[in-house]
Amino acid sequence: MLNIDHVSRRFGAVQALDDVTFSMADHGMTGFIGGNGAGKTTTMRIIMGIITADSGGVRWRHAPITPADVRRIGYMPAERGLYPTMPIGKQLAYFARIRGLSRQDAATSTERLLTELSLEHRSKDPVQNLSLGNQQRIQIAAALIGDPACLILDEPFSGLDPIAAETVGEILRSHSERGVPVLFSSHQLDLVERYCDHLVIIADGKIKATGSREGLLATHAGFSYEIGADDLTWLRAERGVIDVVPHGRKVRFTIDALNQDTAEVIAQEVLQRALGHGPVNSFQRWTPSLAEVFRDTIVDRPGEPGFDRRIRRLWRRPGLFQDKP
Amino acid sequence: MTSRGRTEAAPEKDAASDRAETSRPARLRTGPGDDNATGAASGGRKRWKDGIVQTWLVAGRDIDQQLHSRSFLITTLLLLLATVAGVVIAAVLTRPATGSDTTTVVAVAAELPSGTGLADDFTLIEAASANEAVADVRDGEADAAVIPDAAGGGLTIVARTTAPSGLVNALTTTPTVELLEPDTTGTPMTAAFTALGFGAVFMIVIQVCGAGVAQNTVIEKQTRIVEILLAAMPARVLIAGKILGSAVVALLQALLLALVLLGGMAIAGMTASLAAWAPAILWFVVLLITGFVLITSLYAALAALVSRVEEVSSATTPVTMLVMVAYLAPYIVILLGDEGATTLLGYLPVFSTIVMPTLISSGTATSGEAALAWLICLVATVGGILVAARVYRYSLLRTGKKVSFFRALSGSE
Ligand SMILES: Nc1ncnc2c1ncn2[C@@H]1O[C@H](COP(=O)(O)OP(=O)(O)O)[C@@H](O)[C@H]1O
Ligand SMILES: [Mg+2]
Repeated sequence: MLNIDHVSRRFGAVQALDDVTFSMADHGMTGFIGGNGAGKTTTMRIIMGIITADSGGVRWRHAPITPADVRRIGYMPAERGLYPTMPIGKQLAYFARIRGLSRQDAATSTERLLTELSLEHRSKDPVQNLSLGNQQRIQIAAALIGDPACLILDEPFSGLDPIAAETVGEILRSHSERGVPVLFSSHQLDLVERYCDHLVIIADGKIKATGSREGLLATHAGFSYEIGADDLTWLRAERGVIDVVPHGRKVRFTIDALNQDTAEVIAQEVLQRALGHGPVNSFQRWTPSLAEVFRDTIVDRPGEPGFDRRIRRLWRRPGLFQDKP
Repeated sequence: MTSRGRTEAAPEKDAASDRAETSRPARLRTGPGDDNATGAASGGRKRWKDGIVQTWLVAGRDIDQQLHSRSFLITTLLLLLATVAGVVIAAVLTRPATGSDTTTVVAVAAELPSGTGLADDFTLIEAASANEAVADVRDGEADAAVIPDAAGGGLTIVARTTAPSGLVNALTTTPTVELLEPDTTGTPMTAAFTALGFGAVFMIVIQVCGAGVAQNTVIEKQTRIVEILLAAMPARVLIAGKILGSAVVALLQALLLALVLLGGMAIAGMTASLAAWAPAILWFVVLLITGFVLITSLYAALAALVSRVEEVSSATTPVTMLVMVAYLAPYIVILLGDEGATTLLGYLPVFSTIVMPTLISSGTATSGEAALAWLICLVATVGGILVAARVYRYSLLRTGKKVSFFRALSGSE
């Protein structure tokens, strides 16, 4: 329902966004990941109409987005905070009203939301009197107020301890399960991995990859395996085995094959050979963590550390990645 | 009708301009069969209506916060107490004149309304005609002449330099006062202290309400609430709401003070002072609010340049200095008796808030001159708002290093 079409934005000498195009999934949680200065905040601000794009545009349900549409989107800016001395009930009602709700609707919505977050008895307290966890809840509530059609959250997990992060993650998940799509940015990949269903990866203002989490992880797994054994010195010389990398007490290797079936056959041969050399503690197909996928994805120039020709090969597959030269 | 519907539904070239000009629900309704002849106009009207509603929402929130703030309530209470104390002291100081036998009054007794009873309280001299009575005053035979107006039952008091306040208070109807040798330069102390009094109220109202806007602006920027606000409304609506909110609070505060001051004078029976002061005080309120809006816009703009609450006071130093100078300069200039400078300050925006009412109170300036000073201040205020809105919009999203004022004004990246 939300499409970002060829959005570019420059700040002085910095090209913050360069032809950014992606669409937000209609269901579930979409993680928007990228390092510091990658352009996540700028993208979100353009969606929310807080700043304008130099070129390109945003569509909402297939039509150019309007201020009225934006008010249907719940937004949480980065480095959050609320009015420190304003009672939380009043505060939430205020955010509801500036988004166009009537006084009555704002009051009802506030009451319902506070009850849902088990904070109904704190309605008259200012934010600064709440515990950190509750402050976090109220922060999210400011985006959730007024039944938004969609949620956009900039770094909702940054600066949170694991328990607070869990609280936030569960609130967001429960809303996404109720049919409100969520787009959240983060550079904490473990949390993204845990909560997102879809991924959009951005680096240097360019979109590097988009897709479902499973799809992305599976593709990046390629034909790599992990083996744990006492003696693996022979592995490098093995035919069809490339990229042998020690990984903790195990070794990760990739098989140079054209398809999964061939790779599987070669992998079984390697396993037999290993058993011939001695006992094998573990042997399994390797699935990368999101952090590894991310690291591989954002580096697209040969010769840079972390460059992996596997990735280059995968990018040529149509439909899985948008290849941005 | 149909062709219009088609034109409006056509895809826009520029999404950004589209989003500013139209609202999608209006366009969705647009189509064959709909009554859409006024579609575009009603979209524009709706945008205006939205803007006004949101301006009031922002203003309402700020007013609510201010009225619940302890420091605001305490300063307002202190101001009120000081005003009451001032009125009481003034009443005590002027009281001894009342009923004093030493005041000699001349009048054509036959023409006075019955029951005036001047002879009970004053030494009353009988005169043959109104002209003779005035001549007696000019010669120093009497302190004042009481002459009935030709039409109606009003009375005029004719005196040399000042009307005996005891006499003014003794009359049941408020008299018109005519001075033969009005004393404009003779009482610089009175005028200077008047300026100081107006200045004190001016400074306190601005410090309490105006500086609150600066503080709030930075809190919104630091906490990024401003992004939530800007997602829902344009920056100009936001700053308009903030200025409106603080102006309403300032107006409430100023009116409350004026009411207590004038009411106190009425209760203390200082009818003469009341008549002399009412126009000055009313002009003061009018000029105060206008000057206040100018100062507040500047506060908001300068505060928007920085990102942390700790930086507010240094960022807004130029305005604070301006307020200090506007507070002290009239006092000094009037005390020195520099008429040219006083007149100049009387028309200079912000300074006029203090100087013009002072001149009105001493009878040196007319309401017409005050109106001109107000117009000049109004023009400056409109200009100030435009400058401030521009700087404000440019700076709000730039966090970290302080934004340069002139850079923000020119709007360059
Ligand atoms: N208001 C601004 N003025 C100048 N440069 C900016 C501004 N906002 C963002 N940038 C620059 O644009 C780039 C992208 O920033 P941002 O969108 O905040 O990245 P992220 O949120 O992914 O960390 C950065 O290089 C940043 O310095
Ligand atoms: Mg960011």
